Amino acid sequence: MIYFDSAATTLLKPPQVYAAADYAMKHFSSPGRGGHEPAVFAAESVFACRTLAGKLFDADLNQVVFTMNATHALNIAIASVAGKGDEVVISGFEHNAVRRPLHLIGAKTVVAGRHLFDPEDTLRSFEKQISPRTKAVICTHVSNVFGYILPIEEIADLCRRKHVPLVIDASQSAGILPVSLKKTGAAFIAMPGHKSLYGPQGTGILLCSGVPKPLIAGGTGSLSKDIDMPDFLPDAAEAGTHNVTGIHGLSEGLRFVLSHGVHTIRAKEDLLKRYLACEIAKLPGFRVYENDKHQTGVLSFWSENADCETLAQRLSEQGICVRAGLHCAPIAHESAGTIDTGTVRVSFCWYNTLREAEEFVNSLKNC
Amino acid sequence: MLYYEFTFRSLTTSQLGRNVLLSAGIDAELLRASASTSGRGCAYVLRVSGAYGVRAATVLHSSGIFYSHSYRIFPGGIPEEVFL
Repeated sequence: MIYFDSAATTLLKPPQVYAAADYAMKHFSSPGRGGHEPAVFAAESVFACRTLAGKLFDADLNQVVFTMNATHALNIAIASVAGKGDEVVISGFEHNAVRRPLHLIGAKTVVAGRHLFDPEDTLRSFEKQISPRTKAVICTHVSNVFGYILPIEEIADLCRRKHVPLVIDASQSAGILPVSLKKTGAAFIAMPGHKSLYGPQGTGILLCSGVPKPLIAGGTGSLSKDIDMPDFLPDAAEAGTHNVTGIHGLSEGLRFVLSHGVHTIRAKEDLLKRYLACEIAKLPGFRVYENDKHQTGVLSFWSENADCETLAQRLSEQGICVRAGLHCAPIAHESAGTIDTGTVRVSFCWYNTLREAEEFVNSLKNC
Repeated sequence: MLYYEFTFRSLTTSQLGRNVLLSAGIDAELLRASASTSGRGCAYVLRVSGAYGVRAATVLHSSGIFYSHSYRIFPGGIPEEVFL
């Protein structure tokens, strides 16, 4: 099998991630809920993961909140910065994990920056759309469809100057690009653990500059006599028993990323992306969305000769895993003009090889 | 044996405090707070030996790690709140 769908979930993970999750399942209980060894081991494991995440994302470890996934993290962040009728500026490349929660709470969205791989236009558009009515800005760091790297540091700077809280969706950048809570000054940064951080599914992180509104309430192992949720981090946003099994595995994923470095990981994925972009572009009837400077290892394409879902199914029959369709990001497809066709997306991880990329091209020729 | 306990509302902050104390050469044991010192329920303590109580408080303060209360614990487990 060739797995080129790591933008959804990295299936191929460092071996120590599997071992850690297995170990935690057998030895750890609920952190902060007891003084016995399994509870203490669990608490130390969660603390270790916070420490690693704080190191990778330039945050204090109290600012690291564990969630189920990036969507969960984004829902907490969005409910903390906006409410019914509030105007929120979002990029033209947002995932439904941003669009739907905003719709659910009744916020009014204004879309900024529709031009793919054009960070100057994106920045200009944010500058134009942020007004005194803007309650918050929510922006993805990298498009999950096209790998477009948005100018997040400049957007963060703009938000600071305009005193507008910024929420960053780092789902496709955490583990690939430098992500810093302190440098951006973002109100919140949300990310999954199961993509480029190489953790198990069911893990996510919300980096918090301030205390968010609790999305769910419940036991935290602190201030138990109080009817209200604790007003301090991370407890304020971590009701219920943690996913300790996942978090222990995520620690190993974070160690893997820290030991290799995000630049090295990105460079490897970039090599594969460039090769594939070049080869697919040679095929008749194919349109490839590639950019030298402003793209990670996420590549979208479509073909005049076959529907995207059909193409993905034919690849699947040859043992190749890709993602086709709208990728839960219709706004991004509207921006790129692919809302009617959708795209086939290939995305990589550290363990993919050039040989696999060559096999992919040969298989695509047979589709 | 006399020892000191520093109480924390947050497990994470108490873990951070424990690591700071260990880095400063002060052995600190992290425990769940007893009913008499837990205040509003479910809290955590860092326990250090009597000889290191004042120094531990200084290290925690200087590291920006704030505990809720500090206690001197007498033999037999009787706590007396102290203000370090």
